[in-house]
Amino acid sequence: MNELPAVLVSGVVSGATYALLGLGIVIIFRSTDVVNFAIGDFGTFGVYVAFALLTRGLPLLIAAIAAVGVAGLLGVATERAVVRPLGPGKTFAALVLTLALSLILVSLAGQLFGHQPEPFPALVPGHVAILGLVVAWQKIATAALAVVAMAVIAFFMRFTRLGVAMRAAAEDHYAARVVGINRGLVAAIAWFIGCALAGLAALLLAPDATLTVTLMVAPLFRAFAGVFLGGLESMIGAAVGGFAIGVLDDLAGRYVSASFRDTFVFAIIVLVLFLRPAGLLAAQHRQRV
Amino acid sequence: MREAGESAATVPAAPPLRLRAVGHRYGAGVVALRDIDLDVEAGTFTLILGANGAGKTTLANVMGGMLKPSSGSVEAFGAPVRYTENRALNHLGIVLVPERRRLFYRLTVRENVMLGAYSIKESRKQLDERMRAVLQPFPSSIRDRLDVVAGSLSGGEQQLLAVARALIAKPRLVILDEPSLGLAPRAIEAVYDLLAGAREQGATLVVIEQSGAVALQYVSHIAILERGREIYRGTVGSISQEQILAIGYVGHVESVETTSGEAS
Repeated sequence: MNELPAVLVSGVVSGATYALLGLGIVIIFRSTDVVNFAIGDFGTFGVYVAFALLTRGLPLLIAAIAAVGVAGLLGVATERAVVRPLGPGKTFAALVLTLALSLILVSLAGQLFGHQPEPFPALVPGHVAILGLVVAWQKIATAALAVVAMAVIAFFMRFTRLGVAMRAAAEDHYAARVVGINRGLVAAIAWFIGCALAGLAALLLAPDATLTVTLMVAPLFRAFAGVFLGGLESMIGAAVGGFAIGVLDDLAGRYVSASFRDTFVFAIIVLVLFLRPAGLLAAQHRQRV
Repeated sequence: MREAGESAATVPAAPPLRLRAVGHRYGAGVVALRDIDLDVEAGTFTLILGANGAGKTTLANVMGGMLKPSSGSVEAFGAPVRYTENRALNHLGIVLVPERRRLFYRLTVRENVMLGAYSIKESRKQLDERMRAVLQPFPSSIRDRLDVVAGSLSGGEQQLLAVARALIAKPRLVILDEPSLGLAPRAIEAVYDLLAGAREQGATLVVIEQSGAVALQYVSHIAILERGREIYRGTVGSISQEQILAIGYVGHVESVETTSGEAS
């Protein structure tokens, strides 16, 4: 039997979560120049909160909203309490602090919720057969929710006053101040959206992967690969890059070697940084403008 | 934030801007401004002339709320200006058109104009209507290209867009930092014609330039900066064209008496 369709579907679905994470990384980077290495752990933490709510008998929908909300609020708190006090331009210090925060969150989650992997229920149970290919509803829901979330972000950035202001502030902080855009507000919103997207990604990954404190380590690595592919400045690039890495990763895992998956992803990052440091799509973008 | 109904014509009695003994130094040693006294009266059009390094951009940033001076006081419409890290003085009706325009080059013309009104609470419909009204006197190269990326406009068009971005904010005072920099005389005139129109509608204007060649035909008052110090202030008729034009070339004025009082 030909496995290719199943591998491709699986690649697109995991790619959707990398795209969400990558989009989160880029939104935060563009507005505050900070690469947030703790973003995945914010998502994991949010899902742990959701899991705690589920075990207390709350409905899945409430728990899911809590996962996304908690991740977003952790982002806002981090921006406010850790990043902003550093002052503008301290991007390296901020990066190191997010690394530290990631370690702290992982051990804190371990202390609070235990190190045992916990089974997280599928958002939508069951399977469906499409053209002879059996696909879990969970996978379809994952891809669909990710695409909807990205469409909402695209609409927000393109058509709302605040979204346009965020793109403006990302391009030129000084000019944004000149027209009266409050930089603090823009930063807070960017961190909320970025980390909430990580919460959604974690929520979508947890059912298949089971919930552990290291749930987001491998996906974050792949999301970064996608971001490098698309360029750290490009939202579309990060999303497309995430999908591409998802597919390439699963193809490599199936047809090259399962144990060389990480090597394969890492090789892509190195190759892209070597050939086009600004990202494959970023270069095209600049030419058009 | 100001309400949408407030019009640019309601000018309060207090002058839009009053600077007293304003000085600024960057870091340890570089003094950019010293002891500047300046009153900008409502309805006037003031030209501030200075050569390179005279402190022009520092003064523009102080007046526009972007930079807190290290000494002295700044009052806007009778109240002390509170400088914050986060935003300029748009909520007071004071709008800066910064040096080298500083448009959002990756955004469209429409988005740039829209962002000029960021401090005003109004519906999208109201904003669209005002945008049409504000852009009405602008050339079609701006009006008909709202969905073009700002970075693709010519220098002159970009400066016009910077003016549009300021005028949509219902400004009571507009401060422009070298709007004619790098533009052909024709394009400079287009910019000043629009500014004159804004003045007729009640806005007060301050324009900071290195060369007053075009500006002189439009302004009512003149101040001259030299090495961070104000050396002359008066109405347009009180100083000869030659003296003014010399500023741009030699960077100082020899025959104008230093003023602490008005020379008008």
